Amino acid sequence: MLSKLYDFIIRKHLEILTVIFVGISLALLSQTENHVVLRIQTGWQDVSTFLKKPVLEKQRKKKVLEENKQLRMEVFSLNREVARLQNLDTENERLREMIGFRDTSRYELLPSLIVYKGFKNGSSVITLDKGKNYDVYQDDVIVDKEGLVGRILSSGKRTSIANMIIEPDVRVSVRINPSRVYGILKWHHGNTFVIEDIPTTIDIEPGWTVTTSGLSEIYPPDIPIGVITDVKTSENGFTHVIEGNYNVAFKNLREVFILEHVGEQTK
Amino acid sequence: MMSALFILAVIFNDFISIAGIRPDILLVFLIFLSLYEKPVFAIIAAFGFGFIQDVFLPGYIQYWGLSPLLKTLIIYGFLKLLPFIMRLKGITFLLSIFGVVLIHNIFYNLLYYSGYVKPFVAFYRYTLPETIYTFLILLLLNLIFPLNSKYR
Repeated sequence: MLSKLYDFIIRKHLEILTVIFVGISLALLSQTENHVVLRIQTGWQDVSTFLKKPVLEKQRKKKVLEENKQLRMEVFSLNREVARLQNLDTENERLREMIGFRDTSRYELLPSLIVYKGFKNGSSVITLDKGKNYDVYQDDVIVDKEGLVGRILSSGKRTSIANMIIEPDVRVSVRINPSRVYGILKWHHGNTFVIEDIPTTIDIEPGWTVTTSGLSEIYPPDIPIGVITDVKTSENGFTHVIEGNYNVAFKNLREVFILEHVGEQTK
Repeated sequence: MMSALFILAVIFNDFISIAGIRPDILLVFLIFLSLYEKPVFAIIAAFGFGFIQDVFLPGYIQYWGLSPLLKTLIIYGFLKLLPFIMRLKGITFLLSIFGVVLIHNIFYNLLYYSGYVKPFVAFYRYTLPETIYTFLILLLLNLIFPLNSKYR
């Protein structure tokens, strides 16, 4: 009997071992929440964490560096976006003001964008994005919400070339308010103008405004030009030398208005 | 060398995971042991390795006894089928080994994730990638320790 059992065990030792191990495993499965087991597992976690620490630190450092690089790129991108939005905000404000100006102006105004600023025949010119297709012709007057800008020199089908009043050769017939004295304005330097040949017998004060006189064949009356800043007496002692600042910031001009056929009206 | 690899695999198991998929290095060792050592030793090792796995590599859900149970059963089945498997050659032999790994992983993940993940999801999210990853490591080790060299 015993020898038979021994033979059976020898013959089926693999199956017997398997059954024993399966039995133990099933018994262990029923003890999943055993606190001894959990304590062993926790202990091993502590040991393995300690062993893995250098590698984990290195991985963390690499990750932080990558994250930092990405964040820098994002900051740069966001800064660029903020600058773009600020620019749009400024543009929007400027356009709103221009719309307000157009609505309150007594002239028919055609908004136009300056597409180019440059030189032609020694004088600075601007190119506008409106031409004959919008009924823009030579000598049409250009204004900004602050005042007079210049006039159209020539117009093409879709664009026009214009010159501004800040030119050495340009003269504008003006009226000084509130005295209603007429004079000829010419560019001085930068954003300043000068009016000469006004007799000293006429009282002129700094702060008074200068507008177009309406005596010109090109410019209609009462378009603001600038403000008087200084009144001097000329060398001969008989006339004033009046200096002032233009209202329009010519350097920052981006959009202008074309007064529709003012020349014809005034003619 | 196998022992050194074994220790490294247990300690650095987390670092060889790809997108949360870890290979079952212990099963790879057990397959090699089944081919190189005596069946009794392989069965004891299957239980022992399974026990080690549950203690040292418990994963997120802790089932105490699941690994020794499945590893013992799969290695027993593998040992019983070994004479038939060893008659196979080339790709069919490797496919049969792949099948052993796949069956083990199917049952393991089915029980391991039961109640947490749907069986089909567990299959394509865990079982299949884990099987492929494990099998690739097995193929890599096969270059150093050829699987069927003993029976050639």
